[in-house]
Amino acid sequence: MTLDSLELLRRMEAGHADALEQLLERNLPALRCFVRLRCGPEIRAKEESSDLVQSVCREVLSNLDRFQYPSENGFQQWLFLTAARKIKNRYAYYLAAKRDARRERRSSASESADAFAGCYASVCTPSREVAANEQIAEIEAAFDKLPEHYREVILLSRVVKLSSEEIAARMDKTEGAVRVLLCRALARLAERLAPN
Amino acid sequence: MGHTESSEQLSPAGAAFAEFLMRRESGAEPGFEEFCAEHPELRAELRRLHERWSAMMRALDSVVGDATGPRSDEPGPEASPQLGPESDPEDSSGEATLDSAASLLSRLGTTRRDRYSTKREIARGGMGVVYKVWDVDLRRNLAMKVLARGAPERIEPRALSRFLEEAQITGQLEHPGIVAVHELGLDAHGRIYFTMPLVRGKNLQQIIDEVHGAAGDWTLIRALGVIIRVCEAMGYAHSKGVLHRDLKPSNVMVGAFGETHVMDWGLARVLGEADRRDILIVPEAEEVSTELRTVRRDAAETPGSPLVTRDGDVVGTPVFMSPEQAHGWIEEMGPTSDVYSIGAMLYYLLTGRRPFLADDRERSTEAVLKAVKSRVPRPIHELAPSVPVELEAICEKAMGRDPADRYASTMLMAADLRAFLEMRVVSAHDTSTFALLRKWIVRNRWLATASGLAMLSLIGGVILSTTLFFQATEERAFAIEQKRLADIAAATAASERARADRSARRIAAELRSTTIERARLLARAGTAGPAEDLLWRAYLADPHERHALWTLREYYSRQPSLTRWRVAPGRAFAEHLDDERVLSTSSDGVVRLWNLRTAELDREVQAHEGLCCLAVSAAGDRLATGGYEDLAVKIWGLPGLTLAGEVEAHLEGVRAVAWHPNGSRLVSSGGDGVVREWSWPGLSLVREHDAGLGVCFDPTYSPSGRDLAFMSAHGGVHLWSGDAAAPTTVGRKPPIRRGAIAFGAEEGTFFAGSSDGEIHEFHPTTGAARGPFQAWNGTIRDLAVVGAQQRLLAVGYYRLDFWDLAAPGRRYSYHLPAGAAWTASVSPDTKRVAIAADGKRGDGEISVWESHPRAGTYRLDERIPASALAFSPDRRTLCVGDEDGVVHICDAHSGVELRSFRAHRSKLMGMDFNGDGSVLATVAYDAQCHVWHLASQSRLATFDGVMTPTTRPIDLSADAAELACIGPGASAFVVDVQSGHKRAVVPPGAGPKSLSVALLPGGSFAIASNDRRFQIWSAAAEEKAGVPVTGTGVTISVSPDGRRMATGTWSKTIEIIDSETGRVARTLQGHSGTVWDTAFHPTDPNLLASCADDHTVRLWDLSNGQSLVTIDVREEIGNPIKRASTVRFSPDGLTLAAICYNTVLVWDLTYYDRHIAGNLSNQLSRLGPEIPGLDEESLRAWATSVLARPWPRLGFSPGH
Repeated sequence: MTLDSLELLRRMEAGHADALEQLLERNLPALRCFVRLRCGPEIRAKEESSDLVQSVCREVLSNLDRFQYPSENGFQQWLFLTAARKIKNRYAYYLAAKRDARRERRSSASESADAFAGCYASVCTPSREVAANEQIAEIEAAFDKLPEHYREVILLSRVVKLSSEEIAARMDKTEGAVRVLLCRALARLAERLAPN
Repeated sequence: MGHTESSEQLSPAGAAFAEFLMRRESGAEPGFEEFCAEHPELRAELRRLHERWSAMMRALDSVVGDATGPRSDEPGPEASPQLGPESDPEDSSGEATLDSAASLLSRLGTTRRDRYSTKREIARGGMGVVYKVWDVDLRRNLAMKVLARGAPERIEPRALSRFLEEAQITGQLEHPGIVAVHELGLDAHGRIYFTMPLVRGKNLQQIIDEVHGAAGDWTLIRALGVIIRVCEAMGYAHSKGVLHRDLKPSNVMVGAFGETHVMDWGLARVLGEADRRDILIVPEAEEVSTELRTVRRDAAETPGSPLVTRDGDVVGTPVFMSPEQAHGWIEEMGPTSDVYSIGAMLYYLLTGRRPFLADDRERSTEAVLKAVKSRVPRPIHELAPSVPVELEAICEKAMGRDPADRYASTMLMAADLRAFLEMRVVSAHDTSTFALLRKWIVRNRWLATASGLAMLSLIGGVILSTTLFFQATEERAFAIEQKRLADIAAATAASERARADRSARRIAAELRSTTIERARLLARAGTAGPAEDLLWRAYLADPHERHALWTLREYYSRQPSLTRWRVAPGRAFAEHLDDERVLSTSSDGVVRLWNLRTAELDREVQAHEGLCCLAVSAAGDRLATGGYEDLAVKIWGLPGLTLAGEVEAHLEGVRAVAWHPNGSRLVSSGGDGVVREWSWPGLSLVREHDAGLGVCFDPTYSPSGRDLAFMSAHGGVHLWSGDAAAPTTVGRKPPIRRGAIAFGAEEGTFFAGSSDGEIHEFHPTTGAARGPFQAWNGTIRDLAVVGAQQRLLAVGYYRLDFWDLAAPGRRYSYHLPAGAAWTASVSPDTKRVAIAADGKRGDGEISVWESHPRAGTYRLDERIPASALAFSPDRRTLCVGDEDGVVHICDAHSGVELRSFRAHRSKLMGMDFNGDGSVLATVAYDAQCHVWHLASQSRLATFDGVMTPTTRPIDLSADAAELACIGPGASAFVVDVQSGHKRAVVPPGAGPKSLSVALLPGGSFAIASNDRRFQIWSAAAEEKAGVPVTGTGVTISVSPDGRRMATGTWSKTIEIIDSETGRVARTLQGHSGTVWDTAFHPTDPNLLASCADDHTVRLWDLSNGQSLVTIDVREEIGNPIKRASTVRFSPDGLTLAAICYNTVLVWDLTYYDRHIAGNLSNQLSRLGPEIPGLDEESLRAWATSVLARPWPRLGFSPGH
């Protein structure tokens, strides 16, 4: 954790809303990426991931008083947990309404890639954007086809950036098992990306 | 999200690639190309995977990298656990490095001209010059290494990257033995430099000169310390994947306070990285090495002179170079090459000569290189005969020609050197029993001396030589002395061998006893695993030896593990099916049904893909399992383990399942943070709750089924009461990794414990709570409330804790030898607990424990204020005399009182049966001794004036014809029971006071008296022998064959006296209070029981005087009683009884054989291969017979 973040957390605790906003902003790219990858094609087809991200931010802002364990990790975990719950609720909602997103999906890799590339906007130079778009569409498509716990471990490790110890706690596995799982998941993802 | 693929099968290339990622992760960084070389058939696919993976990681990291920053503990290209240059580690081509060198240079600012003032040049090499400089800002002297060839733009890129690499490698090695890099920069002339602390002191070269010269204060022993520290520093560097490749005495600096630094990492290389240094010195074919020759012409052609690489770098003198380096096989160089170089330094230190230059002949560098490549150096003992063989062996091992022959790491070499200094056995040298013994004797000289001079005379030469070695190194005289002693030892060795063998056996027995006692202490200190291990090794080495057997029994009395089964490595869970059977699951997804009666596996079934949790219904007819990996909850019929139903329950895996008490419902919780209730049969969803609070742990129904409690990772403790729509949070906890719930007997009360180490009690209606109960090991994995006894059980790392809920301060613990325990399940009869644990040795373990320690101890009815005790010879009854003069005749098997009669009007002080149990003599405070016909309870005779000074005041002969008593004036007499005629009275007049008397075969008798003499009198009342003993004897017991007697004394000793010779055969010491009573075992003449004022009952091995078992009766009773006054074996020798204050304690001496038999199979599979001459077959047969017999043998109602 950087000193900045510590300071922000301290200010946030002291009730400075701008500190929370800054913290949110700092975590936004990762949150966007998390939401995109976590959603799966069904929900992505239904609504913009940015809407979901915004809704997560709104909830976090309004429930600030429930946040209890002020460390940057704690904040991130809370953020991603909120997002995960929200996504699950959406999924249940679409399923219950028998609006099978799988059938309704406007299946379009390019569309999907556009949306995903949105979270790249701040880091990709224009010259690399075209290449990035294709790559991202591929990653996302491959990611969607992974088993749930593979996706989870990649998300937690590569996006949420939890340590293997923290992932072990969240997934209720041993650290060793998490490392094996992560390596297998990454290998599987690489396999999916590199079809014969 | 059920649209994902179900298969997790990776292709062969995918699996190989995952392995590559794992290796990166574990720190054994393989170069990708090297890895590909291991899998040539997959090379193309691996390349493709690697490419896509790198691209993917870059893409992901570029998106999220900003938010949190990289973390060092996760895998991935940006955070390699190994050292490496700043470049992308995926691309190890030279260009990338140069890029990064260039970019690094661009970032380096030019240092202010006045920051450092140069004082003088310290050293100069092919690549750089080292100056002593003064840091003006921080006012300190530093060493500054400057790349000699001018400004960066004029430097050859390869040299520049090497220079930077040296700085980077050294800069990343943080170890007291490695000089740190302070700063990398450009000086005012644009020259690149790095600064380091200035090390003052001597280098190892100078130290070796001092050791072998006349001047200086360095000794060989002190210098060995330097070698050890070099080994440790290199061990650290190797752990970071860095090889030094130029270790030589001049590169080891030792400060004034012994601080040792390994210097000059200019040739260092990061393992797994392509070698960017051209350190080829002599090509294979020497005639083509013109380039080298040209360069080398400048160097002095003298032995030991520096070599120069093709790049002009100065390389260590070839004598310290490993053969593979001398050959130029650079890719074969590994940590063992540095081991070789350290070995060569050790050779130099021991002999005072450099390897291959031992004969002091001038030799060209080329000749030396040739020698390094083709020969071994001259043996050390030829050059320095006084060097201990162990050191020579260490040096030889380190300098093995084949890298595989050397120490695998410098740390192992350091360990051996330390072992030598501490006089333990050196692994490179002899590890035979004799060597172990010899080393042990050196370390324990006093004990060895006590154990016999004979042994010493044989090995005296060795001991003296080693002892003298340490003294004489200072005075240089030891070589001659040692040789002389060695000659003497050799000459006398043959004739002494036989005596030595005997002594060695005796010392080995001592060692064995010491080991067993150490194990006993370890066990008492809570280190159960190693203690159990030591005890089992001792037991298996000789199952008939009493010491190990009894100590093992004693161990299991405190650590009552009945049996242990091994399952797949990793996490395991277990639950009792009934009192005799246990169900387990493990990481292999197999459900196993174990039988406690046979200690074997009854049945198994592959239930899930991976780990699964389990729950047995209250009726014991259904098993529910939930897959951690495959999301399903499955129901199985019991005991057949047939699948009865399944449902996909939780998207992120099932973490726990539990049955409703009436079996009509079950609850599951998952990694998705949802708790769901399912109906049975049918498995349809009844209700669910998604708290969104992380993994939910251990949902548990209350005994009535009304309430459901569970914990969540981020929410704390939740209670779902009755038909409430949603659970309420009743207690908050910081984020937890695991939580456990157990309901108490009182409805609504439950306990919740978690990984924060605290157990809280909840009573949602009244709010009353006890605790918190603090687990001493800091984590709680599972909880249970044990039956009506109201004990709370918590299991965690290495411990099983019980709290007495009636008195929460009272607790006891078991130390689990296995490892991290996951679950604890109490059997329906509450007598046993099944524990599932991560085994310590990489396997899962299911073990079954008794729920109370010392369950083999019983108490007779406590309403009887016992004061005297006797077993009937027919084994059937145990007679207890009480303080009111009543004799209680109790069933010896169950302790139940059969009948009683009043024998005296005052406290009974002694009782003794005749041989067939028909006649009983009693004596009481009323100074009367009655002889009873037991069946009719009629008095056969009464004698007045019988005194009761101690607890063994009378002795009735086997035929009931004679009775020995203590009479008035502390005399002793023998009386004919029928006629009342006193045939012998001693002493006839005034004299010493008799305190205890016993009849011997043939009419003679023995008296213990207060004059510290043990007297044996003939039938004719003539004193046959008066044996001086250590104190006033207060009790006499006679062995069944009449050949030995034991007398306990006020001086806390027990004297064993030979009846025939009248001599003291042995004195047993160990009690710390008056020894009130002793008893010989009826069938084993070498087993004696004793009890004393020190509140202990002990068992002794009379063959060697060893104390076998010490029973602290305060622990057994939980009372602060002082005295254990009477002790008796049952006639079959299987039971021991003692009066402790007013309570009769009964021990089943075979009780813990059940534990030994139950654990035998597991221990045999672990230790069997290491025990020579093990008779496995008969041990297994014994265990089978023990497991087959009824247990527990005695039918006493529980004593606890």
